[in-house]
Order: sequence, then structure tokens, then C-alpha cells
Amino acid sequence: MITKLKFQNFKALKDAEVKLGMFNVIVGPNGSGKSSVLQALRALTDPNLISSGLSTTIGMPPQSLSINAALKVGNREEKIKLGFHPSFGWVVMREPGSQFLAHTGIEGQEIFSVLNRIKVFSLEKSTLGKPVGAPQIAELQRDGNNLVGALTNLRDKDEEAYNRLREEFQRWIPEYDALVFNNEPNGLRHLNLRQKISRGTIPALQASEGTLLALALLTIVHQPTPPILIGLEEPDGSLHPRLLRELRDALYRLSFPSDFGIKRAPVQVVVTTHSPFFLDLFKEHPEQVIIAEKLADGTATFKNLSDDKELREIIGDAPLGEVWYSGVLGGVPAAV
Amino acid sequence: MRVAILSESSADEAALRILVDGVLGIQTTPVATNLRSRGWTVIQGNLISIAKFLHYRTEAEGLVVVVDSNHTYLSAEEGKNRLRDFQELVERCRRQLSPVAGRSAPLKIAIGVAAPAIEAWWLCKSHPLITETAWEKGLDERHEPYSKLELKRKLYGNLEVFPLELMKQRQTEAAHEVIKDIAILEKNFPNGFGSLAKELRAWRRIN
Repeated sequence: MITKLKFQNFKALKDAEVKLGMFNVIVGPNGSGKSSVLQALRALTDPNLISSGLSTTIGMPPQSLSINAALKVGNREEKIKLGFHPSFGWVVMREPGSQFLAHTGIEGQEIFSVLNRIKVFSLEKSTLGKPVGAPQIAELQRDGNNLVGALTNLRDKDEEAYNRLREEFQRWIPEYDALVFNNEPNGLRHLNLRQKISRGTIPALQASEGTLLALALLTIVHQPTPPILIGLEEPDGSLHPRLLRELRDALYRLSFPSDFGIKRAPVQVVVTTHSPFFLDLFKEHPEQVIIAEKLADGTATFKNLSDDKELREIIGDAPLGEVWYSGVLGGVPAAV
Repeated sequence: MRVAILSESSADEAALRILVDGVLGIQTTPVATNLRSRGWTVIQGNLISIAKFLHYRTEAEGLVVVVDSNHTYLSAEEGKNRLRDFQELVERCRRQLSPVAGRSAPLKIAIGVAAPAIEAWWLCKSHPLITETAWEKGLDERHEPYSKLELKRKLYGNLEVFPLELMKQRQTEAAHEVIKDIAILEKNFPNGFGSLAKELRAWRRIN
């Protein structure tokens, strides 16, 4: 579990830190660093993503960029830093002292076993539902590519999990009652959705964006061996507001499995959103809400809603999403 | 004087400030927080939070809230009356604001309700038949004298859609005209605007 990220000169995050719990919803205006948190998490698994000054705060030298993270590895706390090492380039180092962290040492292996199990998704409609060819890879890709491959892999490897996914998909999108896979002579595997009433099928590529997004999200949450951390960029984007409660519960199932009667290690979840409807669902859990704030100088900062005890009194009975929209919590675009 | 303005659309805010300044006779200073709401039903739900926030967390001395009446009455003695509901809500807000160190007075709150929408106020000089009375008579007779869309077209032009920047510009221009003779607006909209003007004048006396 990543408990804290500290940023120096990373895009709009000139000098910012964010505390993370088991479940985290980040709200804020465009350009306030929400996506940068997810990009930072990706970069911890692949430091090469930090490249040639593109990620550095404007006006700052590329090598001044660093992302520090506090994480739990087993029962111990570790502090690491993604930064520029004069000998090795962009690497993950162990703090304090910015010690180079070899993948081969025991402690390095333990730390990387955590970092390598971080998955961040930014699902794109254009990739969801695309047919896949051989050889197939098992996992859903960051942008939603290989949804068909991930679904068939789940069906073949863990039928129970696949059936749970199908049942939940039918609850979310009741007009479809089956997922039908077709193998074409050219080796491509297509996904079709069967309509409950007409019993006819439509190619997944013709399904609505929300339908495919729902299917991809359910594929993520029904993985039998999920990552230790899942980041999701605006998963509520194309879903009907009434489905957001279901989405929240599906994600909660990852983070709080025992509350759902599931025996599995909890998965840390970091979600960004612009939806007041989605935020409404976290009123009872201010510790799960992070407000990203864009400052007048163009840089950004974060605050955890639960750190501000007085704010709970101010919010009172009002819906959290509306209070956020009104501007009371911060995390809204500046006045023009 | 630091005054926050909360209305149904960002298109209204600049013009409303001109109107508020016109009634107060001073140039108010906006509060840094960028307040926004999504209509009466939402304001009902979160006005107390907004008032508390401004009272406890900002230097705002006053809050002006203006909403549309839509198809509700502002003068009805009995039954649905959005203005009265709004006034009761504001009273509830006021009761929840405790003294704060460094604040000489509790946050003042003034409310207005435009019948049926803010454009009616801005048209008061050029269209004397657009009045609160005319609107409520239409409600009684179940025959609207004009629609909100017609009011928009009168103010912004005969367009299919109304760009935000155009709305801001036309409202601002209209507000400058209206404050030259506020009595007309007060006469034609005695409840929805009259109550706002009365409250603002009380602020002026306090200050």
C-alpha cells in the first residue's frame, strides 16, 4: 500500500504531497494534478515514463523532478524516491540517502514486488471492444485494449469469477443477457453482446461507450488475482449517474473485501472524478476524499477532506457533491 | 465591502454585482471563492453550508443569492411561495452562524427571486409589460404571458442557442441600464427584487 506521495517539480505539482488511504477519490479542476497522481503511480512501476523534461514543472530543470513515496512492504514502512541518478538515469531509489535499489537484493525484490503490482487505467472508448488476435495476452491494458482477450482469459481460467462478472454486468446493463465470443477465420476473436429481448447480437464495437466502459470496469474488479493498487482515471465518465452507486460498491469490494464476505487481500484504489453525483456517495467517508487545488501560480496541491474537521460541520446535511460544486470545498475552476 | 454572489448561472454574476453595487451605492469586492449553484432545489440543500463557509472561513460580509421563480408564486399569502420558502431558509442559516473572533458582524444574507428568470429583470426598462404581476397572472390563468426562452431571445437575440460570453455581455450591459433607474425594477418586481433591494438598503444603514 502506498501511504504517501510527495512530488517535486512534477508537472503542476511543484511541491505537493498527497496522503493515500485504502480507498481514495480525487476531485479537482482540470490541471490540478489528479491525473498526475495516477501518472506518478505508473512511473513508480516504470521510471522510463519520466522522460526528457516533458513531465517537469515549467521552468524547472528536468533532473529536479522527483516523486517520493511511502509504502508498506509487508509489516514494514519503506520510503522510496523516483528520481534522476547520475549513473543510472531515472530509477527508483531507497530513502534516506537515495540509495540505488537493485532488483536482485531481497529488499529490492520486496519493494519492486509491490511497485510492479500497481495498475493504472485510463480507459478509452476507441480501444474497448476491439477484436483481439493471437497470441493473446491475458490482461486488460491501461487504455482498455485487450478487453476481449482479458474476458476470454477470465472465462477460461476462472469460470466462477467470469460468471460473477457476467451476472453483475447484466445487473448494470440489463438489456444484454450474454457475452458471445466469435473466432474469425483470420484468427481474430470478436465480442458480441446478446440483446435480452430480441435475442440478437451486436458487435461490441457497436455497443454504447457506457456499456463497454461498464464491461471493462467489471473486468478490472473481477480479476481473481488483482493488483495491490488500482488507479482509475474518471471511471464514471460514460456511466449513467444511477450506476455510480454500483460502481462505488464494485470498487469498494476491491478495497474492503471482508465487508463483502470476500476472502482476499484488500486492493488500494485511487480514482479521479469530476462527478458531483459520484462524490455524493462518499459523504460518510471524508477520509476517502482528496481535493486537488490549483493555486494562483499554476501549481497544485492536495488536501484530505478528513483533515479539516470544521468542514464537516460546515457541510452539514448538504450533499457532498453539491457542496463541492458550489465551491465551498475548493477544488473548482478559478473565477474568470 | 466584501460580497459573495451566488446565482443559477455564471452568466448572471457580473450583472448581479453591478445591480448590487447600484443598490448599495458602493463598489463591492468579490470574495475569492468561486461560488456556483445549480438552481433552487440545490440551493435549498446547500445554502446553509455555503453561508457557514463564508461566515467562518472567509472575510465575506455579505452574501447575495438570486434564483429563478420559474412556475412558482412570490406574492401568494397561502400555498407555494418560493420567496417565503427562501426567506425561511435564510432565517435558518442566520440562526446557525455563531460569533467568530475577528468578525465584527455575522454574514449578511440578501435574497432575490426573479420571476420567472433573471432576464425579466434586465428587460424591465425596455419591456414594461414584463412584470412579476403579469407572470403571476399568467400562472393563475394557466397561460404564460411569455416563456423563459422568449425572454432570453428578447435579451440576447433571436438565436437557437445562447453563448455564455454573449449572455454575460448582454446582462452586464442591461444591468448598467437598469441601475440608472432602479425604481422601475423595484416597481415591476416588488417581491422578488423589492425584498432584495430592501435587505441591501438595510446593509447600507448598518455600515
